[in-house]
Amino acid sequence: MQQSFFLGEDQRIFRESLARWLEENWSVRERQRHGAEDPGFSREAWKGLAEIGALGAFLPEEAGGAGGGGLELMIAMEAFGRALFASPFLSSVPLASPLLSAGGRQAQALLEKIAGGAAIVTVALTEPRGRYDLNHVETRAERRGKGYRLSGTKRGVPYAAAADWIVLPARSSGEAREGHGITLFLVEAGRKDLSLRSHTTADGGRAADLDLRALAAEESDVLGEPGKGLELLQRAVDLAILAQCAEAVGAMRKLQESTVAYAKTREQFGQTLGSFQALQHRMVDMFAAAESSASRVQAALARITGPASPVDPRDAILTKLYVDKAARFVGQEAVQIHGGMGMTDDLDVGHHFKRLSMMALTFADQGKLDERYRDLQGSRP
Amino acid sequence: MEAFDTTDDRAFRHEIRAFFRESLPEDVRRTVMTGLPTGREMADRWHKVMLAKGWAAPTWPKEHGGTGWSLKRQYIFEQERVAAWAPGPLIFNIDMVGPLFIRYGTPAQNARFLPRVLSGEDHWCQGFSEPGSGSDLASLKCRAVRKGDRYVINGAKIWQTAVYESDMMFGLFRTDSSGRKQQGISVLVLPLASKGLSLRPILLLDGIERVAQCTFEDVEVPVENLIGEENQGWSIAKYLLTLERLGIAEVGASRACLGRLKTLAGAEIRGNEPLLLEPTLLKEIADVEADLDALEATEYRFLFDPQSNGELGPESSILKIQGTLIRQRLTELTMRVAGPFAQETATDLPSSAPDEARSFAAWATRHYFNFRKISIYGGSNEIQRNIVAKAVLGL
Repeated sequence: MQQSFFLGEDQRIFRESLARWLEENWSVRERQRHGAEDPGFSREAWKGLAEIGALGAFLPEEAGGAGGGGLELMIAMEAFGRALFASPFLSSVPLASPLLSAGGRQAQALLEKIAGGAAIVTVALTEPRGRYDLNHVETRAERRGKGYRLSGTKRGVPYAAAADWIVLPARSSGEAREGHGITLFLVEAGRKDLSLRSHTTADGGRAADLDLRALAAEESDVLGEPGKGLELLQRAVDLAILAQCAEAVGAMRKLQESTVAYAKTREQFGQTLGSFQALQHRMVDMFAAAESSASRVQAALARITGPASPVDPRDAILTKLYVDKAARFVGQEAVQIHGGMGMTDDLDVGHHFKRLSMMALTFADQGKLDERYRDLQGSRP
Repeated sequence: MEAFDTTDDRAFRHEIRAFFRESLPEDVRRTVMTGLPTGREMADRWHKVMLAKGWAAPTWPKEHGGTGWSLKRQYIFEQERVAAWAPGPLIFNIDMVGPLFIRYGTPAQNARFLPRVLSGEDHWCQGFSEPGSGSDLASLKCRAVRKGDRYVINGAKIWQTAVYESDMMFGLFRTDSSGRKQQGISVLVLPLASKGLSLRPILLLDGIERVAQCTFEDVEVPVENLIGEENQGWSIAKYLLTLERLGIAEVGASRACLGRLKTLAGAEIRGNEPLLLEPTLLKEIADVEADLDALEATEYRFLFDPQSNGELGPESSILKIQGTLIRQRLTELTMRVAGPFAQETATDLPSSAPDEARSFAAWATRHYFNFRKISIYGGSNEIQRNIVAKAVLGL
């Protein structure tokens, strides 16, 4: 199917209705209130989003979704970024749905529950010594009869305490950093062989550390092929990277707009801040950074057709490199131009700044992206 | 710039270094390392140690209980202090209000206030900025109207740090609005417990530090609390800013942070290599270290040029600009070392070993958030650039 770069009528309507819904039902205060304790988000808001079709917009029709593509995902994530909406959407939809699509009947059924707001799924990507290396899996999956026993530690798993299901990468063969031998297990949460310590994250979300104590899993819990989970995981992470970049676009656009609005009203030296040319130029640069990020994200996500769609690693790497750089600039400048007021917890500016700062350290940092870019040159001259 | 120490300097440096090594309590060191406020109990405890040693007021003359040190010795002391992660002197007491009294106070005022400033019995805070007067400080509106033997203050002040642990305030107040805005400002000192003074807390975006907005409703201050002459407060405020010369570039603090950053990045293993050697990170650390070397040499040149008599001119604003950018960059890179764990928020003091590196790294995120303020307060970097453009480049 020929993909369009631009939004169609239905997509514009979706964007407007979602923006309106968030404006009426969400605020930064809500984010702070929910982030303080588990589950870390509003189940009521989650249900509301399911009702207006936002949770299933990107998911296939046969799974109860609207059968949309990357642009629907972009619209949702950008709106969430602008509103600073706190939820397990990033984990449940762009990150988990590619993995679930590769699973059996039970996994496919979960997609339908996600679309309906009836299930939360998260993915345990990070291990204590793994940083951003998906191949760094020390967690062991030992064969036990027809099933497996999983033992190890996962750290900073987003919304794990709220999740109904968790995807756990574990090593069924090989050594910690080998590419082969990683198996993905889909297991139900809330069980005795899985202990969990939950905390508020620096940007007001929730995450938890997990201890897997000989956690029992069946063969039928495996997503994709045993030992071949890495490739699947990388594709899911790349889709999540693009989705998160769309969230960053929403946050950047909001920051740029509020900075301009503030500069138009705040007076010092008998004139508005916005009348100083030095500041005008910086706000123009903020605008350019946010809008170029929006275009780059759109170009990447417009190529995505659904959860099972391939993701060009080049798109994920270069989009994130660009957006992280832009987000750092826009976030820092927004606080600086707001001056002392930008430093306070009262204004939204600081919360957007914090969220943007943390996005740059999620899924990959600059060093990891540079390394992947280098590897790309080897494989594709 | 240790290479340019004289024999005397070197002996002095070693004396300071040895003292910090022996006398700085571990809990105090760790708190300073996190970059977060020490709190009054800890500040008082450490201040007593410094008082006993005679180093509580490194910048004051001897006759007022200071060290009487030369500028070079003050510089060396500051370097060694931050390298040891020791708390600074009580900043508003020692670096601001003390020098204010020493220069402008009457003998009666000094007898009344100075001993308690030095002893730390009273903690002081500042009252400069107002909700409508930030970068344009001279536009301040908080009014002090003289009625008989008192001033009656009405208005608001904002951004008082550590105000909930303070006893006294020194501030700038509008005593005349008929002329230029810089005229008609006076310095008054008053107890925070004054009737009619109320405080509203403002939480900063790091989620930890609380500053305050102070509202004055008919707060009465006796006229003997006027420091210097009435309506001459602006030149007093400018004098206070010149006192910051030694701290403004924060080279020592950045040097210490750089060292810690390298230690953390060296201890963090990725695959089979220390994270420090990851090309991207190493390049950024090299850049910031190069910037810091250049800043240190510039500061040294500005401070100790025999032809400048130790007077720093408006060009010192570039020290503040470069210094804050470097410090912010270092907090950012430290957060980068924490990587996927930068999200973990620390609400307690870092636990002791075995995971010290990572526990400090988690604090790096708070530190990064909090340190956005340093390019805003004390004359934002935009104001500093205006100063250089006007007063140095003649634009």
